[in-house]
Amino acid sequence: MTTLAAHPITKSHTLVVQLHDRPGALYRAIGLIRRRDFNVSSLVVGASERAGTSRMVLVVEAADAHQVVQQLSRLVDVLSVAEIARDENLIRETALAVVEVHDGDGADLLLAAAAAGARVSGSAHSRVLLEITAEPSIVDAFVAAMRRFDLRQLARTGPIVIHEAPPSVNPTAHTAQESVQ
Amino acid sequence: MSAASRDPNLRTGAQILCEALIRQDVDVIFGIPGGAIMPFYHALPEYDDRLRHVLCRHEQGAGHAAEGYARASGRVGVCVATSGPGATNLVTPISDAWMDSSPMVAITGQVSGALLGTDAFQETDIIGITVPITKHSYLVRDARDIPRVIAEAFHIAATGRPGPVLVDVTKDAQQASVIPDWNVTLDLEGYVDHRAGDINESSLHEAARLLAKAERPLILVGNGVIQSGAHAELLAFAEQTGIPVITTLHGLGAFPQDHPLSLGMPGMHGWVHVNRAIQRCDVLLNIGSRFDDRVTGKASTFAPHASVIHVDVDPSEIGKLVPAVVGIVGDARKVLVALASVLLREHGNRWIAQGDEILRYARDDNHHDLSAWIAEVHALRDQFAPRQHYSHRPDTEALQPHDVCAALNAARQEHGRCRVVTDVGQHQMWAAQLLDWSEPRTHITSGGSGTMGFAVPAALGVAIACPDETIWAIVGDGGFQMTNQEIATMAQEGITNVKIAIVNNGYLGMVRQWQQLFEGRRYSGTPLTGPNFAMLAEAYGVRGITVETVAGARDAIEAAWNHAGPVVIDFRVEREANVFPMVPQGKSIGEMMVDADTHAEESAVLAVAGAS
Repeated sequence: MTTLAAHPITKSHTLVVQLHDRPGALYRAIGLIRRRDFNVSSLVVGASERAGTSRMVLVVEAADAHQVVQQLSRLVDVLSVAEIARDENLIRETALAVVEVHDGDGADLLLAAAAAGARVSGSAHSRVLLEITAEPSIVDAFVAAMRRFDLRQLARTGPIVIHEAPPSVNPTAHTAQESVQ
Repeated sequence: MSAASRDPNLRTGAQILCEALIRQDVDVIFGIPGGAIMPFYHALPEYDDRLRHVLCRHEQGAGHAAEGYARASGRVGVCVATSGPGATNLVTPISDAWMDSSPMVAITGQVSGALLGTDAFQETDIIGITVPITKHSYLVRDARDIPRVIAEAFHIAATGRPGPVLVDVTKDAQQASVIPDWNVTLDLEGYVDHRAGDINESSLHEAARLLAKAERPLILVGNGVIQSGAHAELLAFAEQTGIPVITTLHGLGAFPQDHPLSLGMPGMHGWVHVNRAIQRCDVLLNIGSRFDDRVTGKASTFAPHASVIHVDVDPSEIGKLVPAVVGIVGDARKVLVALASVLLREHGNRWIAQGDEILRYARDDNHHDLSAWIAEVHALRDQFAPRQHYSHRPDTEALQPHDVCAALNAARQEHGRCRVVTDVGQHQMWAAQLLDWSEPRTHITSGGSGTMGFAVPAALGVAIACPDETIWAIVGDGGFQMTNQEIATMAQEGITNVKIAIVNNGYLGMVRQWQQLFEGRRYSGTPLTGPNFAMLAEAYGVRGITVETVAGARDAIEAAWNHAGPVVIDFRVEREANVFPMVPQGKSIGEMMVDADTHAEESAVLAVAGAS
């Protein structure tokens, strides 16, 4: 049909979902993302402050995440859903990198890593293990810097988020307000 | 353990499952046994005075029967199947119930817990398969969980926006003996029943303000009004405000069709005047309809002048396809009552009518008069004469599909209330257009999913929900051949009140119509033969009648209505009759094709009723 509609301009959306830690809960939530054919660029699930519940942070590439936020809210095992703005919340990501040191570039590597905010967590033979925990954009810069060296392994956790005022479990009033705009 | 030492409170999981269903006021279940659900079937006879089991011939039939039961009664329909193929055969009706928001609990047997995930015999991950088409699902591995799970499953299926819930019970959980604890609390913190919540006051006032100043308002009514039992409140609201009402396929029956404010059905095969009214209206109040693409046509061109007020029990529907100026989340009935009250208090609307004549629509504040708008819409209706364009075919003696509908409508005048279940395709649209719909839950069809094969098994479920009423299943020859095996179920169960009208044109007619109109008559895969349906009916032990004339149609319908048993009527109709008017796929609803002089020949007669 319309090519334009099939390939709308996408951007990153960061969704924070609190859900029950039960079999199938994650599967249902992720299934909704898949159904919309959104690409998931990052997914982190772990314990939240409340026993029996998990906090999931998803970064999806999509034109508009509003619909998927609404549909996630419908899931029985989902307690809250929020699309968060990156600049208004505490967002952190950890990355680990293994870099091979070659003749003479060891000092440059350590300088570049330090400039990016990473620290050396270990070294063996000619390899250095670097670690950084920072805002994702700083981690991006660190990764870009390491790519100028002989980067052998990279692992990123994807962002986790603390947002001080969690959204209401009941999205009724929220939705009606939004629709008025 | 000796029998003497056995605790009398011990129950098997299967017994607990039966008792849990009875505690939910379930009195009938539709299903087929198999290995993984055998313990449940072993327990069933103990409860057969309270729990009727209807043995279907295919699990798809069991699922659609449960849907028919649910749609006719408003209660949760229950279907049961074994693991593997039994469960996968339920996928189509579960999907159908999901799309049409029908309350359903599907119970499937599963292989024993120790075998889960080992590709055991008849093991299928039915929860995984049905995740996108269920409101929720449960895998039960411990018999002690059954009371809570069943209570939660029924609560989820029936409340909020209703829908299907799957309960997959391992065989060992059915076999285990435990003492059930019926003192269950629902553990559903994340589930919100939006019917129960408070209605947003500022949205109500904003909606009332828009409606009060509207010059060309319309009310669009969908399944949500029927689901919430809001037809009386809708009638009161329409008469208070004088706003004309249009009803989607699933809204048919929510508003009396003979009411002067009733306009009819919108959309792809809706009436020209209804779609024109949508394109002209300045405020569109949508209550319980989800703006399906079969209603909106090309959504970006839908109701271009309208401020849309969208009332839905599911917040995710608001703004999904058509932007809403005001969104109101809540139960249709409660919203209608609240909105009527705000309008009356703040704007003092009243509608004054005498018989079919709308005399005046007056407002105390600014005396806006809607009679010009209503007259405009009625003039459009007269111009496009909705039903009349089907009435004469001087070129052929063949029985026309609309003759069948006319005969059924006439018979219904005489015999009174009946329920109609339609399948999917041309006959479905003819029935929607040409029968009179005035009562909720009397028109039952597969809408969102468009499942051919729905009608015959759904009619079985409706017949059991409404044993004192006559049920007409209207079905094409294509859909009939998909699930007609459930006539055997009707015969075995002693069902007497189902009458099946096959609109037999020897084609998969709706696809053929598209091929005729848009693909140069390339009838690929659509010509269809079948058995002699009347003889097939007789083979099932029910009455069969073949009809080829208008007079024969009247006689057969009369005979069927008076016969104390199922009847199958094979109406052999004109093979290439078409459904008009029609909005071509992807077009604006302002661009309708009409069959100007009743001939099916597209080259001679197709006209486009231009966009407004």
